[in-house]
Amino acid sequence: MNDEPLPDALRGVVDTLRQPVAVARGLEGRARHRQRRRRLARATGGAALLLTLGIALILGRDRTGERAVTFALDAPHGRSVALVGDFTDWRTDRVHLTHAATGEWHVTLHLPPGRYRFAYLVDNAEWRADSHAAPALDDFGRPTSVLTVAAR
Amino acid sequence: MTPTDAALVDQLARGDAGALEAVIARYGPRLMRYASHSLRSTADADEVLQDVFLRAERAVRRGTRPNQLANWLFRITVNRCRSRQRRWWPFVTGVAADHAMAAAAITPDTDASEWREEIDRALAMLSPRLREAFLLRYVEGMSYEEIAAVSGAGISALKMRAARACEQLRAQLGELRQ
Repeated sequence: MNDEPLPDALRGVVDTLRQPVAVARGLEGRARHRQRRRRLARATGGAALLLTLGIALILGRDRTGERAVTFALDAPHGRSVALVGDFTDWRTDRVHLTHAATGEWHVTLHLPPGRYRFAYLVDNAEWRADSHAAPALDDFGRPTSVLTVAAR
Repeated sequence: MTPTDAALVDQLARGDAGALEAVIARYGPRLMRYASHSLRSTADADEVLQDVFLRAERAVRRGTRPNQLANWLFRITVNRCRSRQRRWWPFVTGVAADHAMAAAAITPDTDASEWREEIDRALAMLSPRLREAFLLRYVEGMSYEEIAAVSGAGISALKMRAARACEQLRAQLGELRQ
């Protein structure tokens, strides 16, 4: 291979390219600022990843043995329907059913195997049992239903 | 008294205030010239240099002691420019020469401006490897041994690239001037 000196025709080119190109003032400051932003982005990204993993673990936690149970009630004139039972500690504010356009109210829960008593509370006033489930009475004599979730 | 490169590296290693600024003041302009011609954008070159100096500082603080600070910084710069070209190559255009002109410490007249644009177009026609060899050899005035150490390429290949770059530039500029 040759090791030729620069051709005369390109001397002007090189002279032009050799002219100084100034470094804009504050390069170190910009670099440090960018470094901090990157670290923050990494930290934020890491936190977001952990949060995502946490949510994924919660949502996708091992539900071995749990079964999805859909509770549905036909109450076209109701304004609200709550699901109340052993799995809500009989609290009326934990599980609310969603109203479909058909007039049906429904909600799906994942429950471990077991026997549960439950009822619906319509408009926070009317206790109603589930007509498709075995009937029972709660401790106050109100109509309830019995649900048995079988093991897989 | 001006500190030697070795003293600057020691200051960097100790985390002395102003050490990095002193390194930038000493080598920033040369590296900026190379990076801005290589990337044909002073904005991109500025970002590359930010990376270069922070990487250098980090390496020194972790125990690296470069024998030749200038060549070591050039090696990092050449590598960062390559990475940048791989990333942005399809989007880099010749109009970046305007930024280089704005950053240059001269006020170009119209003829000089046109001449620079011609040079920029011709440089843009070179492949990144040819441009790299040409800039390091003829603009930065490095020996082939130094370029080999900086770029990782063999001397024979570098000579060939520099010669081809010259041929192509000459042809390109000749066409533009016709």
